[in-house]
Amino acid sequence: MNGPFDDYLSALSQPLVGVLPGPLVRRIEDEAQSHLEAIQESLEFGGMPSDEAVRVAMTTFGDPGVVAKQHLAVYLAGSRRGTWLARLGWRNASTFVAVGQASFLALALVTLRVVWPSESPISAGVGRAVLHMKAPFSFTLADGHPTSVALLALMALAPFLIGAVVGRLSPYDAASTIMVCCLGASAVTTLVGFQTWPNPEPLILALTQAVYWGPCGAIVAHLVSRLHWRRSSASHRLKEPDSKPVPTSPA
Amino acid sequence: MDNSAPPRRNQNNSGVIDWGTLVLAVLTEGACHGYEIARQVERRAGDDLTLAHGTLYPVLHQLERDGYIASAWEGEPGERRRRTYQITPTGSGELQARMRRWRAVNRVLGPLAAEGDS
Repeated sequence: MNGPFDDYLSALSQPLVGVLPGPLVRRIEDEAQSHLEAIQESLEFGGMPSDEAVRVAMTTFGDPGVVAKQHLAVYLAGSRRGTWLARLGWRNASTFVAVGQASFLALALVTLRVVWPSESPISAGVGRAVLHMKAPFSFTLADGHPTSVALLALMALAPFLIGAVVGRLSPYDAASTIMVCCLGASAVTTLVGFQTWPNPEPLILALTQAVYWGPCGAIVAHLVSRLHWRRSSASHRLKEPDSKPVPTSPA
Repeated sequence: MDNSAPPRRNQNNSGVIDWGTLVLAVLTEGACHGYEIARQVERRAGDDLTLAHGTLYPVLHQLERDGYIASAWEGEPGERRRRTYQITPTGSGELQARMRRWRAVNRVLGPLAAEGDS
């Protein structure tokens, strides 16, 4: 593309890529380009200079971030008939994977912290009785041990990292996506906690995921996504169409 | 999804404006491309309603998905292509139903609005 509306069209389609199907994103771009060119042509026909016509066309079409959000809302509201993954989109699915990886790493550190001194790693498929024998009831590593520090750092920083990544990559409804993912991960960790009881650390992690990762990650994701939309709008210096006064009575 | 019950907060985040009904009403006059629809809506609305043209397309997509309108690209290769939208028989029926509901709303709220004006 080398047209005057390229940046505008990129700002419009960027939030849609990876959530909406590719052909639909292309259609949205093509429709927008056709409409913008029609406005430009009409203005130039009326005697307006080309640069000014381009600028007015973009203003008339509206904030690309707002338009993209509305396309996302319409698509997600109507995609119940699609598969779960199609509705979720690969970006939201990748959020689940990110939270799952953080949870897995934290669980691995918990396990490592419990069994490290005996140097007898827990193998897959180990029975509950064997696990109880291997896992002592109390913490066996000092709080200053690097593994303990890494575990605490991961548990503390995970929601901020996940929130920042999701808010940037999947800005539409990022906060609720994080909450759903963290509650799902918490449910899985709780099941692991019951399996490893009376070792309490997995249950502590499950609680952390539900009451700390979820809310903190959601807040960070919300802030980052708002910043993203604002930058997208500011880069085009368009006024918000929402700010226009509109009466509410039927015609 | 029931998107026909007026008044409702629509996808445009611009108040309780049923843009879908306005678009269907415009398309009863004949097939149009997006820019023409936007201009017709603006012409009908006068100074009372303002529309960011881009917000028209999510409405069009929703109407098309619900089967109320159909669309197709027009234009030869090398020329500027335009997508044209036209109302379907289902859309015409839906418009009639919506207009009946709007008339009922107007019967109730119209006198109140007139009292407020006076």
